[in-house]
Amino acid sequence: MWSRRSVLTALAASALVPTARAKTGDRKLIVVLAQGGWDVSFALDPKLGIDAVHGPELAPGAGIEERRTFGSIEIAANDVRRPSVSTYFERWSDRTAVINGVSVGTLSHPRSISRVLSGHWDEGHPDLAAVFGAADRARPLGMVDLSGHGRFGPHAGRCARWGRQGQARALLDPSAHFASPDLPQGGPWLAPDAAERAAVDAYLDQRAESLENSWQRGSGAVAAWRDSRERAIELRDAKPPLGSGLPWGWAASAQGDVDLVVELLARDVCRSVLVSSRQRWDTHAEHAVQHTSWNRTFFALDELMTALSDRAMLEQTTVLVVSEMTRTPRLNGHGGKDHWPWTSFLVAGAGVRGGVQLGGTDDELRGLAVDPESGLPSATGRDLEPAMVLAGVAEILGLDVREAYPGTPVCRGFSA
Amino acid sequence: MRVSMALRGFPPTAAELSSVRADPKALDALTDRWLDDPAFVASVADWHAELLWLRHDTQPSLPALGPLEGRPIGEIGASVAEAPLQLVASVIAAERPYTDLFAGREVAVDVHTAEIWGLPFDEGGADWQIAEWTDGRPAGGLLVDSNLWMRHISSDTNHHRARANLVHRAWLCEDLSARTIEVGDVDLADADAVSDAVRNDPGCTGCHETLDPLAASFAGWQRYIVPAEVREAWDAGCPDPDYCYPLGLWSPEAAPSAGQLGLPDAALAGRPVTDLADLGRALVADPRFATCVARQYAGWVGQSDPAEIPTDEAERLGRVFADSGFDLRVLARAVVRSDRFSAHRGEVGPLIARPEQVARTVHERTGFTWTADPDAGSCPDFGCWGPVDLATNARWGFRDIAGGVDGYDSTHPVHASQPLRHLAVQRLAEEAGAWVVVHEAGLPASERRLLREIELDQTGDRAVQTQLTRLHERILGEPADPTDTAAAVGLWRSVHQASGSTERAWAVVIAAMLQAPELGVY
Repeated sequence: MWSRRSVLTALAASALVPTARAKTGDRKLIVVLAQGGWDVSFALDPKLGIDAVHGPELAPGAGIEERRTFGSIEIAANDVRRPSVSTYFERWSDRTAVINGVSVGTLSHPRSISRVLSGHWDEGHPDLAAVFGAADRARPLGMVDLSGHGRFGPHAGRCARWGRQGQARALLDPSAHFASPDLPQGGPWLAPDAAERAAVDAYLDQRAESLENSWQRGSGAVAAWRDSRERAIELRDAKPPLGSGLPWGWAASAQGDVDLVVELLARDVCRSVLVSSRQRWDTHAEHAVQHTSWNRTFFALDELMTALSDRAMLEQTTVLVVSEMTRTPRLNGHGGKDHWPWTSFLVAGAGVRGGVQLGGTDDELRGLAVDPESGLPSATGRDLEPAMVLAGVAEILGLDVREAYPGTPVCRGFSA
Repeated sequence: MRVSMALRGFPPTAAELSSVRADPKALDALTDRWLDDPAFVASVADWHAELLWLRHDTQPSLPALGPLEGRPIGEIGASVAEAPLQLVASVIAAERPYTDLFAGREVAVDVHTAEIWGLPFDEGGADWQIAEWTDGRPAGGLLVDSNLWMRHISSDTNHHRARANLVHRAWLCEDLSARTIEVGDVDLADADAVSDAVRNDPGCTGCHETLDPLAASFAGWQRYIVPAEVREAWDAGCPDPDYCYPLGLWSPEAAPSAGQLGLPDAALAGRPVTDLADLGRALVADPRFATCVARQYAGWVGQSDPAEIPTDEAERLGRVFADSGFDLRVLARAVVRSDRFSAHRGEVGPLIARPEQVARTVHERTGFTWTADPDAGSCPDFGCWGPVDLATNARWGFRDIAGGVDGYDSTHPVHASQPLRHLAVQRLAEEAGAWVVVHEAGLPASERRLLREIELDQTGDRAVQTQLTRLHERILGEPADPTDTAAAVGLWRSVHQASGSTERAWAVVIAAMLQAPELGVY
């Protein structure tokens, strides 16, 4: 039997498939946000030996700091303090591109997060992950946000925040419940069976239809209510239950997020995910913490790429790793570094030409002008902006970049 | 419906709705009555929680040490976040001018914040009481509320600019951090170079000429006190008393002066100010203030970006607000009764109930609050979290999943029907439905809120139909027509026949009604 949503989905399928490449129809996107502002001189944009930049060698710790090259990618490596960074590039550099010197034009966390996730200078635009996720109508959700930083814009109805502790699991697993101090046995007191839920669904559908008919001015909102409720029912009634394998609770971690992200995409719950690195990056003091944050983040990225590969998802999944800004070239008077309005992007996986390093910064960590198409430094070029990189990612994903980023040059230097 | 939701956070009763349908002028008196409802004050607190990014329960709480030992850390954190909102609530409940929020040394205090700040508290009195700071801080109301500045911290190099920008964003409607910057040749790690640039570099002065004098008025405040510092200080025997309870976030002897921070003389928009009390006076006298508050409130109730409120409308509302002596009820009335806000003829499109409105609706209709204990019998080493309201908590519950904010990572609400929002509402409704049946079964019919027309073992058509008709009216706030009643009867019968339980049938029906689109879209 055709549900109302399946009819809509079938009708929409012909009109809304991504336009650029037929083979990209099954693409998935994972965006990892290193929120707080990573110091790119610790890994992706090495400045070792350059006096003007206080790099990782000045943050106290053991091990040898050295430049290491993978293809055309040069990183700052330390096999004692940040071994996972080296391990990641040893294993995945042929699937990874690095873009340095991306200008964000602000020192404000919220503004720059918006810029690196959406590509738009002004606030209020949806993130690329939301645009891409929402272009697919077949899955119950377009995009899932595990970070809390996602901006959905007009695509909000197809996006979902997952909760700081993965609380959504408790909504998807019928056996999960929260222990209430006010209820005998901690509740829940009511767990409707499938027949009861179906009866309630029918009752609510009837109410919505009645409201839709009687409330002309708000009929669009009621239709959206019905559509999102049908998607909710798909999630709720999934077999096996979606929530049973998903983590929740005090132990929320980057590792738990890797498992969750892969599971969400593998089970076609959604086709894009925004996830936080869950590390401390905003090191106005105690700058040596960056060692740990880089190491843990790349440990998780290695786990993520391995999981995608093991489950035969790497050929469909593009991974984008961003931070909203980097840190000042030199340490401040408090042993930390402040905000610096450039950053680096890392792109890996499906559709990415590996071993490529684009963009660049000078010896004071200021972004170099680039040729917009190739992303390579060019004295006659222009500043590299997040929109140019995201337009390149959007093209890999099969989105119509003229619609997503009108008038923006598309950086294709990392496209396979 | 829309006016009641905006002012109280829950829909009108069927009787209220009928009275307006019979005579549209009846809405005038109802609006006045709803503005006097305590729920209006609670809604104003909700607005300020979103405006000021409070209720940030996903973030670490102050530790349960010393005088707080053994107390739930979730409660401690929630108290600090809630205190500024309770001050707002106190001023609005007393029908004082909104501008009183920026004057005086009043502070809202509960059993936890009394210990955190060393303030008097009567444990036999109300949960929240009004006390006064007695440490000599300026009389700047919210602007000198340590609880607010625990959330909005500075840093060793930010020099209170983030705090200054909060004031500028919230009450003058310009987020200075939104402006694009040109770093040029400035070395941001060099304090002297930065100090020179913010005074002389044209790429910097555009913002800093506004921001830095405002930041200078915060001299006397520590840059921050984070939970880890309190724990470290306690473990070390409190070598710096500011970092042990009672905390010394306001610490003019210890904190650097504006001059030491390289900031200019304190001022707002060119008007010199002497301290945060003077800043409060300058702020409410600023010609942008009334229009901004009007814009913020209209944006909040209309679920739109405040910047999108047409300028002429914002200025009109601002004049109404200022002319009233900054009476927030007058402003609220003007906003919700404006043509623009009208559901039938206005520009504000259909609205989606916020999580706070959903929780308040369920509570008002049923008496149920969705409390849960995330510790579930065992607590981490650093303490128990304590019970939470799942509908309005983001750390453990569903506030951000249901479209709200967590006040830290997610600061922009989502005003749309979303699948996970439906599932959160469904779980809340199911727990409420079950609770109602068990709770009301123990009460005589006359004392019940919902199931007043029936004994729970009755199954006769007439009795069930009558009760369902009344239930529809009480929960949905609409008179039930025969189609409505027939649908409810059909649902009740199907559950009863399959389960053999009248209690279960009533619980499922109540849960279904609480999920109805009429309560979620307005």
